Amino acid sequence: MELKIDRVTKKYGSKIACDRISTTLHNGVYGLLGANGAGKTTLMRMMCGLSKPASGNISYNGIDVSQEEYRDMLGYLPQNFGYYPEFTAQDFMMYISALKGIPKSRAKAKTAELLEMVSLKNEARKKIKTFSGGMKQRLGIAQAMLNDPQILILDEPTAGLDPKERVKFRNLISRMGADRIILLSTHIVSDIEHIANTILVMRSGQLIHEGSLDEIISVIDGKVWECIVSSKTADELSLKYPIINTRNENGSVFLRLVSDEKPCENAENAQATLEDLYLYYFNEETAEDQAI
Amino acid sequence: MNDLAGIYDKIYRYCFYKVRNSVAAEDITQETFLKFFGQQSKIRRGEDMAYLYTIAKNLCVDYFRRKQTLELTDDYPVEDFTEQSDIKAAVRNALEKLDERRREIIALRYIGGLSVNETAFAAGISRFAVYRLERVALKELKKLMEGVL
Amino acid sequence: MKIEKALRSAFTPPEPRNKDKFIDSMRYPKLSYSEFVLSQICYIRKRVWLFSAAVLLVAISAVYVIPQNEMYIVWVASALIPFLALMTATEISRSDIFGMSEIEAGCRYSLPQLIGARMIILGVCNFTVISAIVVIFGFFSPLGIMKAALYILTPYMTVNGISLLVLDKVIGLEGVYISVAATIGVSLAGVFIFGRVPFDMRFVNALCTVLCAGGVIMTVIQIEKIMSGRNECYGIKN
Repeated sequence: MELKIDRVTKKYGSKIACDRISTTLHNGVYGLLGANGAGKTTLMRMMCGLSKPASGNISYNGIDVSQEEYRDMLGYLPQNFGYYPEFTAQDFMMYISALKGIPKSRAKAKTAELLEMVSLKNEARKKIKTFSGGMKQRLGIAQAMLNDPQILILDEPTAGLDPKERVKFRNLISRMGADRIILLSTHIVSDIEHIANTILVMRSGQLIHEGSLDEIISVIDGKVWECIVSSKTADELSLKYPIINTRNENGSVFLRLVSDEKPCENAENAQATLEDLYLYYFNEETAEDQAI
Repeated sequence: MNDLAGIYDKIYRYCFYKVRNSVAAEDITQETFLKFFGQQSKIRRGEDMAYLYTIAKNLCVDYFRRKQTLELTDDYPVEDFTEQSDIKAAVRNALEKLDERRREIIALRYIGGLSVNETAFAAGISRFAVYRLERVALKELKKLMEGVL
Repeated sequence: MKIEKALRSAFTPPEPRNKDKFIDSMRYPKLSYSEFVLSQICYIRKRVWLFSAAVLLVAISAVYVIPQNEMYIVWVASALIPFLALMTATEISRSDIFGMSEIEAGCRYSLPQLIGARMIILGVCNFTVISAIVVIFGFFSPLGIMKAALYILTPYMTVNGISLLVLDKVIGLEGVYISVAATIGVSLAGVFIFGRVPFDMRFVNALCTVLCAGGVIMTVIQIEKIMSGRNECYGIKN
């Protein structure tokens, strides 16, 4: 039961979207963390066979990603998806079922089961164009599960879900992760914190870190500081270090920031969280993007 | 013919009749399916159904060989002592008294629920032979159960 | 019949324990490719069938209703045939137009197979319609089958080629609108050429041959693109 990604590289023109990415995934939930343009979606699409790596290969139990057998075990929820107009939720599920090779009788049963699971049972006969963003997202999750996939790839699955739905979704994913490989990418750091067994950190097309939550955070252990300073100092500091949080307090400024060394006199260490790490890694990148 | 649940029930019932143990019967049923789908991807009426039963029968035989001693008590669900349960017990006993060929035909037709065609495939005989054996077996059973029915 | 009933009911075992879970987990038999193609027939929009039937009826009726005018029959068809080709092209490209390509591409029967299925279905339909028309015209008008085939196939292949090209380059419904405009253009040109101005027939035939060949080549290129390399374009759209 292993998904092997072996030195996978992808280029768009001169830009390297994925740079020799290698890792092996087993049953469980993996969170893919990275800034926009870090190569997350590119990697995921290659894992679904949607685009071919320039070099390297991807296989599941020896079955290459380009084979029909691989796709048979795959469930994919892309970041954005459309739908044929006039389709109801039911129509949509039945259509995808046919594409997944599921016979009609079973498709009907499976559709009912999955729509219930994502709380769309009552909307089964309603047209998708009447759906809210969150409802559409839930439908997307349902279709990914139609063929009981061994590999589930979800690109920004919690986008558009309200907090209650997000909690429900987390529970669902946690339950499903026991029997299959789930890879999800999200900007919402708290999602990854709660449900991923392993976190993969991607930056500029490279896989820079892989491990459990604690292992990942250990990178910035002792590097998260909190201090209260004057606004002048605050301005100086914000130019030097990634600022995670800031607020005004009686004329002074409270800062939470990441720094290798102690940034100022009265700074104190704070417990590092995944969000801190995200900013630590990706703050430079956003600065670069803005410069361009 | 994708009514897997229905076919599962039938095979399970047939195996249970053979091995008299519900746990073993279910195991054999599942093994039958796995073996079948290891080679094919569809169950069509006719030959495929017969093939399923053949696999099941052979697995039951293997089970006996491994077990060596046959359990004397049946695993049949306990029922109240009604006239119905009397008849059922009588039928079971009567069936045991038939010779093996006739018993198998009855088992395939009435316990396994196979059609005449499928039974012919499974038993390796002609349709005509199935008709004949079935008729003779039913006649014999009726005679054996004279007092009860 | 009591004995049969008794036999059937006497051997009921205790409830199976793992039935549902087992059946769920089993690799149930999946659709074969031909079953898949058949399943896609109902997803081809009704308007395609209706229009095809309408075209056929017009062609057939033209034979009886209108006195035999050598070119008239042909230009009636070449005013309609382009729209048949347009509908085919848009139908094939539906996945892209409506943003379903990504989800479809990750399925067992991936995009090339899906497009292939649509092409098979529509190909059979169009082939039937066009063959019928060509035979009817070839038979009932003094043109002969060869010329009839050329005059019918030219607008079809031209529009096919243009539409597929447009739908590849321009994303979404916009692509459809442009294709429609192009089709109307071709249709009007056809009506113009065949119906009104007395062009030199040799010139017309040569032009048709060139356009037809061009259409075929473009169609083949576009379809090849769809089946193999198109995957590369996803994600840059939407």
